[in-house]
Amino acid sequence: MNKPLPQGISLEQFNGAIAEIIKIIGDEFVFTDDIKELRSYRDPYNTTRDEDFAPSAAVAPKTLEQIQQILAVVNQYKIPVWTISTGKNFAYGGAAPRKPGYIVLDLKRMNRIIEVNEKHGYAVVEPGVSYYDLYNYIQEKGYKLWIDCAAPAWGGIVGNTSDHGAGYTPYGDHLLMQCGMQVVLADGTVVETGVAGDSKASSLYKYGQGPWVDGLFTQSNFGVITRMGIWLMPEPPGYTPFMVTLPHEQDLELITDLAQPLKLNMVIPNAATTVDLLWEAAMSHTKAQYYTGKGPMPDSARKKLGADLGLGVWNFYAAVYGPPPIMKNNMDLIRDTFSKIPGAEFHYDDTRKGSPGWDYRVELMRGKPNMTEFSLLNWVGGGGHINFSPISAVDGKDSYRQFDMIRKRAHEFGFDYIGEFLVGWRDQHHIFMLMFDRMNAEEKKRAHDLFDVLIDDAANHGYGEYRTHLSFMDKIADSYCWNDSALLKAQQKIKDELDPNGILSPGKMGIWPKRMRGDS
Amino acid sequence: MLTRRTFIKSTLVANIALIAPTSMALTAIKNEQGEQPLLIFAYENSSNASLFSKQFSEAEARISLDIGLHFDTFNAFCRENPNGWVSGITRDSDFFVLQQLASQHGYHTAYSATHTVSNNTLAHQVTSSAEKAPLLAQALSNAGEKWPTWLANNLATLQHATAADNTANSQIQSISQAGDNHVLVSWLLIPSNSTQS
Repeated sequence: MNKPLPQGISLEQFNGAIAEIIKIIGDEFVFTDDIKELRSYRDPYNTTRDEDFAPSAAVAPKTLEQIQQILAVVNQYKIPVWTISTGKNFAYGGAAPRKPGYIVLDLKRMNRIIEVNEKHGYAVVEPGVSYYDLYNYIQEKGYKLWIDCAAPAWGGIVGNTSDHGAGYTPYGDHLLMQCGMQVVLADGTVVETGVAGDSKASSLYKYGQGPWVDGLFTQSNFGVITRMGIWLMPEPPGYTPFMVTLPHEQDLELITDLAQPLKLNMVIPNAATTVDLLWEAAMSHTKAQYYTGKGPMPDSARKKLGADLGLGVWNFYAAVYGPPPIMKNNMDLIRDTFSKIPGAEFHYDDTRKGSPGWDYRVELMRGKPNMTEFSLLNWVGGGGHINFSPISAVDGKDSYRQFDMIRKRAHEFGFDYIGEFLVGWRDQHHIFMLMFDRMNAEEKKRAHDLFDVLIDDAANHGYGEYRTHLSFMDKIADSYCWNDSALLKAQQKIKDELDPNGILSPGKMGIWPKRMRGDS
Repeated sequence: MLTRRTFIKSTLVANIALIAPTSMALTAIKNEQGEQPLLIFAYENSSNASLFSKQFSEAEARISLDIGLHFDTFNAFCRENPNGWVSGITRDSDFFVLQQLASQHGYHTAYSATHTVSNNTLAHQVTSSAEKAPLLAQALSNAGEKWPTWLANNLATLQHATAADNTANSQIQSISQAGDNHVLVSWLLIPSNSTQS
């Protein structure tokens, strides 16, 4: 394979830029060997060609000043850089850049936990800090604080938050819990948000004075986030996780409608989930153990699987927190509510402990990092996946319609529906985990085609996605087309103003700089 | 080529002493000269993985469904043993995760193979160098049901100086069932600055 180079850049120019970056951060942290060094910056789950997202190099600065100097170099050469924190966002592209030839700006060496404040409940971290890092630090110090981690938890706090990721405790909306950030703009200017001149208040009050701009730097390419404040939940005096198994497909409607007021009124305070049978089963079993034919698993095999593992067609997970009297009061209300569903069964730690699906959810709902969810990838041999992630209302009919739409298409294309609904403050993130054999070119192509059709289907039903894989960023950006795509045009104006040379992550979420528009 | 020299090397690697306690769910081994630190991973619900790990020590060497529990051990091993090897028979997802972590320590995958039992057929798909892949696939088939033992005893023959990128297949009739998780992966990660080939 030829060396991937940035569009319009010669090998001589590329080598010139790399030589200058080596002077800034040293040879040890500049990676250009496509085989030995850059494989970890590819997307192992991409559904097209490997070379579509192959970087030309990766550079790993340690300090803000080094970032400023690197940006000066790439501005001079007009070479795009693709910023990552830990690069573990595998369902959406991992560490790979949007286009071949970009230089990956890898911030994993910026891994300082700058502050954890137990009294006020926050942490300030750099982009290379993973959920494991922060959790371990808090445990070592003995702070009575919980983190809220993604599943799986090897990703970075800054990366996940800035990509609008979610977790499972009451602090599950990560961007909502973000407070204050430091950003380097394309021209090297450093901006800090929050309250001026007081780092502590910056982590306590989001808005400072004037427009609140933090959101502009999330899911975007307007700057490089180098520091972020994140609120942490005080360790509660009690924690009761529970699960409700539901025997029928149509129960999705009921559980959603019954959960909605409980969530809205914070009787259920955490990010609850309604998880389908196969997702749960895949924690410990493979598809071939129950079905070796082609296409989606038939109902007969699904029934046997559910019966063997004691799982419902849907499985609702949530928790209550606080002093025992409050938990008891809330659990009584929750039990009364969900008991209206025929066949619904409650499960707790005493009977469920040891079941893989239960164990990892119990950890996630109290912010304990784990990697168990990766077990899903064994459902099919050589498991790869991309996530189709539309937003729905917390509404029974809406949820079922969305599920039915995706399931029908998935089956039509020969894939299982494996999904969950994550109940947020007012919405649901519906995650359809599109599993395929990453070694099978035909299957990858089919997965790609399915995803493409799903975007159209969702748009036709009035649904939008909250996050997506590199391959589909343009298409989903185009689906946000109200008023002649006024939103995207506004984003492009901001891009052109803040990054006139278009060096920062061109194409991220469909936002291209002026000089590259139309090339995508 | 699988030479006598590499065979002898593999024997040295297999004559090792247990270092890590069982509670760490891992086995770390070294050869007589202490020159080849080795870390072994084995999926706890697989008899084949267990058979593999037992060739390195008498202790059980197991990993659970949560590979994250072993991150600290893995990272510490890679940091402290610049020439160390990491190998295992695991689920595909565990291999994927460890492969990603290993790349951050400058490791590459010298060898990997999927082992699939389906309809009484045991199939091996080996990814290695163009030269070695077909030989290894054949050797695995020749070993029959004892293929994990063969792998353990011939670990040194699996190494390769650059990332493996050629595949070869083999298969035999098998009496075992798919209860082992259907698909297992055996693999060897070595530092990219390794000069051995």
